[in-house]
Amino acid sequence: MNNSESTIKSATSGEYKYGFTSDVDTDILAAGLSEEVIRFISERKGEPQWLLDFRLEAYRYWLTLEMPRWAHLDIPDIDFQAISYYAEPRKKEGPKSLDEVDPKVLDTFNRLGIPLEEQKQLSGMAVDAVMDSVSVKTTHREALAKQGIIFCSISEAVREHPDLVRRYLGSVVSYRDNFFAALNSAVFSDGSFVYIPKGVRCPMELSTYFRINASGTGQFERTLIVADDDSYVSYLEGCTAPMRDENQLHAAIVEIVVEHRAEVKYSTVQNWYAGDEQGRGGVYNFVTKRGLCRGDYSKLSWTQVETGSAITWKYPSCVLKGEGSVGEFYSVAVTTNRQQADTGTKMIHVGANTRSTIVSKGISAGHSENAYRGLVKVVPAAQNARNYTQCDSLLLSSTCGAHTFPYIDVQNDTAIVEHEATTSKISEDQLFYCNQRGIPTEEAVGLIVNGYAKEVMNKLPMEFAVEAQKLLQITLENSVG
Amino acid sequence: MNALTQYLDLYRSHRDMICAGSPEALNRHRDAALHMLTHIGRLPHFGDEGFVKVSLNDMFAPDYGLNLTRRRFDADAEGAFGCETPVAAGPSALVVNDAFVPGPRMAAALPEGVEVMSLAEAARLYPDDVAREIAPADNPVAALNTLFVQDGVFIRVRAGVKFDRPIQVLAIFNTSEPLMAVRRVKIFVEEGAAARVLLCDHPRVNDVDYLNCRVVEASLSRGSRLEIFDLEEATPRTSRASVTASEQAEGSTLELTNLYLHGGITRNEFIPHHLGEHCTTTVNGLVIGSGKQVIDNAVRLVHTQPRCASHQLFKYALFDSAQGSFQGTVTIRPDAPFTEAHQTDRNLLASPEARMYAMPRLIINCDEVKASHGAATGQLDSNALFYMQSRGIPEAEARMMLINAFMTDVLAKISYTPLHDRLTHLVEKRLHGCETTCAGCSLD
Repeated sequence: MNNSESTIKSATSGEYKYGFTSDVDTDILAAGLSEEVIRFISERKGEPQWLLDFRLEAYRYWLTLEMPRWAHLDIPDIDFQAISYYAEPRKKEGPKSLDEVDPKVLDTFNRLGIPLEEQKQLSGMAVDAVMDSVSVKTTHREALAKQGIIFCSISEAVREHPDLVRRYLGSVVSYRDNFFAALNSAVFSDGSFVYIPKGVRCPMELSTYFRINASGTGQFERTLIVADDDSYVSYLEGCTAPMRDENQLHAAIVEIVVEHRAEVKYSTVQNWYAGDEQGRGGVYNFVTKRGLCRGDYSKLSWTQVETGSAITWKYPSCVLKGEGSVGEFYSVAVTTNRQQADTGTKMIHVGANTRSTIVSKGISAGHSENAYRGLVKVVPAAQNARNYTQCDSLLLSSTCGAHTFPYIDVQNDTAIVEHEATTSKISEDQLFYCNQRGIPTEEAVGLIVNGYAKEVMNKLPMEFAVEAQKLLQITLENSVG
Repeated sequence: MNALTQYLDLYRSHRDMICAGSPEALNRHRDAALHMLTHIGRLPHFGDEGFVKVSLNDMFAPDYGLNLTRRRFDADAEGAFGCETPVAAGPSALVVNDAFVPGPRMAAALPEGVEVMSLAEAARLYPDDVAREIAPADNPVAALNTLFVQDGVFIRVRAGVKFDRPIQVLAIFNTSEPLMAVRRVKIFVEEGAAARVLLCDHPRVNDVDYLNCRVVEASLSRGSRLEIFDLEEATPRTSRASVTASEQAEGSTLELTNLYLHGGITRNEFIPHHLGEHCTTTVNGLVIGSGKQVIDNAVRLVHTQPRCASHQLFKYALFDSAQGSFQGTVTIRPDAPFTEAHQTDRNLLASPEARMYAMPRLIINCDEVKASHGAATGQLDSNALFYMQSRGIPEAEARMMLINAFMTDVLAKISYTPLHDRLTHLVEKRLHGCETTCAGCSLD
């Protein structure tokens, strides 16, 4: 191994700083999945009958499915009966104020750097914190409510805004969509609900932090965002989990509905525990995210920085139905050690004059496998659709893999669809150039990687961009080789 | 309906007859192919991985006849195809349905060190070469071909021989009944040799259903060079399932150019394989589809050796309700550092009903590589069209000129000038809606 290789190697083995566990009293349902379990979850959450019926239908459909194996992933068999489908930090009633929140829970989120505390109210971000199966605390709700914005856990939304939830739940991601969507629809525990009324521009970033804490559990949250006509919202999502030798399952659904001229910006910094160097432990992150740009001239933008998870399987998608609607997908996916990722997007052009842009940057190190998989589909009615896809892969070791699987299906002769992809390693020339100017190799690698990912990082909201950049550096510490 | 069953049943019931009529080298792998096909149980269908526009199951489902009894068909190398001077420029082999027919001037046109003969005859003379499987045994089309193949063409270019002129293999259908022709072409280019092979597919009768089940296998020895030009000009009632597989020893160069001008439903698979370092493989494709034609090209290239290069360029122009599909997979294994792999797919949709599906893939497990791919689907540049019209060129003519220009870079890669000119002419005729045949296809 030459000098630069060893520097690169030593630069990508950063420690996972969110791997601590919190000693929080938690009620955990015994492992196993059955109709009784689903009835228990529904009853525990005080849900109406229609929602229980929805769950049961999803469960019965899930029983008819087999786990998908088409992704470029080596997924060990998962025993779905060995997982607990409900875990709740023990607290009798929902907290009315921060004083009522278990101090250990608060401490957990403080250690994660999440501004739950009141004194951080001025940080300009409303936060919903979800630990295991339950939303712990949502901040700034009152301020948002003044403008008619609903930002609460989905359990509360079911109780307080049942008509809205019933109207939109499952309208973008049906429980029949795929194996994990069916599973989530059957057992989803909590998540966030956002409704932005007509003509309202959300005054602050909305943010949800997801934390798996209890062992032997999975996390099955569901997020539903509805942006009514002429509204705007920027929504951020962060995820962490403790370091455990066991694998934990995270199967979430995110549904977004964007009405006329509305815009939703959805940003994710995904940093679930990725397992150790030998690939022991880590979160299986199997997520279905989809937005429906239903209104004319609506816009949905997905930005994601994926650094965690032992296995990632997710394709945030846009169904561009409204005329002139716009879909964007910006992604940086980093895999190190034994991580595997099969991620990308789907852009389905249905309406006329719809546009989509895909920029995907993959960075692979260690023994990891990193795949981009994307679908661009233009249906016959989608006149003058435009898509541009750029998909780059950077290889930082000789033992990793970088793969590209685009699917381009054009059924309209007025469409213009372009796809470009490149795969390369950090060139010796670039490193030499930096060294020559006094920049040590490790810094140079960081510089080059950050430059490579900048196009995506620039799309993140300011607060996340700084965090994501740091995360990228930490993840790649000691791994460039 | 499971189309495979009828073929498996047919083989089981006629195994003795098929084997009795063929040399041992052609029989050697039949039972293994039967075992493989029995194991997979059915042919790929819509929705299976890699089969979006074409279903092999549907393609093989009709009740085609097979010439198991080795009935001899009329063969007239001069007149069978209405070709005025098909072999004037070089040696030409004729395959009528699935039987090799030597042309009268074949021997005279061949230089020393170049052999062109019937595959059945070669199986007796060079049994091990003929029996050597180059196409993957687990490929369903190759396995079906192995099950029923009884003849084809064998070409060998001896070490050091460099033969400029293309060896033309004219494969025609000539029956009044629906027929599935099982054809195999085996090409061996020995060390330091060079050759060009032109494969032409045509039916002689327009109103009969045909299925062309074809396997082309090429073996390139060290430092050799082979160019294959594959021209498909069939009728809308002709389907084709083709596998072109190759193995290349160190320092060899393979150039494959596939031209689809007319036909029905076509599925072409290209499976090159490198055995040594410094190999270069180029796979180019040009497709002009119209009517209800369906054209599916799939390239599966696995780089397993260091310091090799591969280039792919596919261009489709689709009119009417034609459907195109391109699926190119380049895999670079960990033991193939310093590989250079590039893949380009460009498509023109020239009518509202035309459809294109592209799936260019890179699977890379090695960091010391340069790999890229690009795919674009769109229509003619309206500015260019306007510019030409503003200078007095009628719209229809301007369109044809631009489409012709769009196709130029595939044709430009044909290095043998007479063939380049001839094929360019055929493409121009095709774009102007003329029936293109090899009639008068002089390469001089």
